[in-house]
Amino acid sequence: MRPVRVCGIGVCAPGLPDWASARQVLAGDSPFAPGRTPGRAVDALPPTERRRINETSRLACLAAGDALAALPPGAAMTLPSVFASSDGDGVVLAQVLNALAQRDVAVSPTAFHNSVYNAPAGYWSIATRASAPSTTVCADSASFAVALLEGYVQLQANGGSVLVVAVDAPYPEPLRDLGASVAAFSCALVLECPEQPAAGPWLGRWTTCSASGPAPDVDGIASAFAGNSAAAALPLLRALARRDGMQVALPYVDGTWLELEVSP
Amino acid sequence: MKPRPLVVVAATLTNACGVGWNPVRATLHRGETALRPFDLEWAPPLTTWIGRVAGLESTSMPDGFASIDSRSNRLAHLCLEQDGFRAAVADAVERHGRGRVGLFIGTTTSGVLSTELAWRGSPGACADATARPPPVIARDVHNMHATTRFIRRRLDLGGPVQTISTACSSSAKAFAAAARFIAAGLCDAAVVGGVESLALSTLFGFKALDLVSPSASRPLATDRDGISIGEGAGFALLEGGGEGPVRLLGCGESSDGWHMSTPHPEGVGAARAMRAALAAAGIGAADVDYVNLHGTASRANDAAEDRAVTAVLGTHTPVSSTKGCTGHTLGAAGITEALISVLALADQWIPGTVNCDVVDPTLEADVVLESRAQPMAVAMSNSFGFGGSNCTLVFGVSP
Repeated sequence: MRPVRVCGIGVCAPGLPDWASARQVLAGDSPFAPGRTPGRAVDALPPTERRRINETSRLACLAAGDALAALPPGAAMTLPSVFASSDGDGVVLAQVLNALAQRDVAVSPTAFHNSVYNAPAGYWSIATRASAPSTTVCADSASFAVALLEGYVQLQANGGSVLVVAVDAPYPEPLRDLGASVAAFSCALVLECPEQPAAGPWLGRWTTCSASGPAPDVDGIASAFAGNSAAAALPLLRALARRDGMQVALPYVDGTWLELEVSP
Repeated sequence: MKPRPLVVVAATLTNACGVGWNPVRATLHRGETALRPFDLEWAPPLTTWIGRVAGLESTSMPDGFASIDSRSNRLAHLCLEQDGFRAAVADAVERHGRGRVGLFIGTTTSGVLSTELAWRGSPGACADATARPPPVIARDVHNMHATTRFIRRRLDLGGPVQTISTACSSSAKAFAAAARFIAAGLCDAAVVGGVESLALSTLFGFKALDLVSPSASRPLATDRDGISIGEGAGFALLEGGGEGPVRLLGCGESSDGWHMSTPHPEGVGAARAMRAALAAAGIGAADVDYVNLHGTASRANDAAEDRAVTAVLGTHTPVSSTKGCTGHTLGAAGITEALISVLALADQWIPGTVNCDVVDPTLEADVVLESRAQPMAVAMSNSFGFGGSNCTLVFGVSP
């Protein structure tokens, strides 16, 4: 199994509006200050979709766009993608549930198509005119690791590059307990299997095991995004920000862990 | 890397046509619709027809799983018990080890019906739906991964796992993911499948988009007026080098990048998925003997798919849609129609397009109305979903 190279990183979360700032925070060069969720629009969407887009799709598209910032324009069109979420969009779910609870049921068409689990992938493909394959996976708290592993396997099978995007956000009251997140978080990675020798960082030595455990929350950032399946990427993002070689464990299914080695 | 073809070692299918392979097969061979007027006593009224699995209301969860009772998990359980499927998986686990058998399940709703019914406060299909269950249990039922987790525990699998939720292509893409994981050496065998129970959000959501037929859906018909939503589950055990007459030859996937809920009118993305599947299988358009269409009976979908099919295969390949029989099982449509394609190959028989009396004259593909015997070596199954998610599977049978 070949190691894969990280050639783009994106983040969109309250206090971590993009990778450039998240990298400084995660490297310990600037303090973490929880702030508002970034409010910017997905500029690449046509006006109708920009108006209709739901929050988790917006955050996912922003993180994905951030990860592609350093790549050539148009790269997204042919880039396969893997999207992940544990809980989907709780705000849209609440809209649909409330409509379904009325005597005369009338669901909003926009709420329904935004409630579809692959809505972030759909909006992303519209924004970028992406025609390459895209999948959307879920595995509860293991959603990020499952998506990352799918991206890795796609590279082993097909070579080339792949975009991996994860997003989750809190459910609104009174549904809060049905979701797991205390704060919104989205992140994205572009991974590739380069044909030629290339500079890192690299992700290698992928294994699943039951003996690992969560990384210590040294700076309180992980607890600020507790329960968010996309924020389970934080140990990996921290290793990438610090650019030092280390072993990272990501929560996988049923108490197991996906371990991989980050090398600079 | 060209993965070797995977063998369909075991399979089971449950939907409105019947519980288990032989009842479903018998209904399909008779060419009858299994759709019926909307009669969900636990739901608000809706003028349409549905594909309902009989007996789910009285199905119990197996011992140890009562706390995660949901219509979706009951449907998964009912399906897993048919056709010796659990025993076949246990045999694969015995041969390969539980960590070497993967699980790839497509669904669009998992257990969300339980949340919907709890929210409505109405008595429902599940015993606990009248009261909001404790949050911990509710999350365990509500999460999109809930039914996959149940299946994984029920089958005692320890290999790689994914819940795939790409709307109506979900469980077709389960085959593609499983093929990749086996090719990459992360597992030796995989259970692929889909589970979709009837849910209020899909019934009333598709209604909101004006995509639901007020009667029984009539795929490809000149007077087609929308889909009939059905529920269903299906599973297949895939192994590289396993024993069985039917093999998965190739998978093709693509995105439309066009619209959230409308396919590209020329079927450009669909055609790309079909071509990718042919390339992956290493065969040409002329090798395809039958196409089980996505064929939802929505006006736009059937027209776009016809453009795609005729662009890739020409106008002489026999095609049909079986959704007039089963209903559109959404997240389970991929596995349902993949296995109907497997059935077609096994029986050397093309299922007809039930409910279609007069084929839309603007469609150019060779639509098979009445089922018929036909020698065939290769069958193709199309699945296309919201958000422009396309997946085509190609199966072959040893002559």
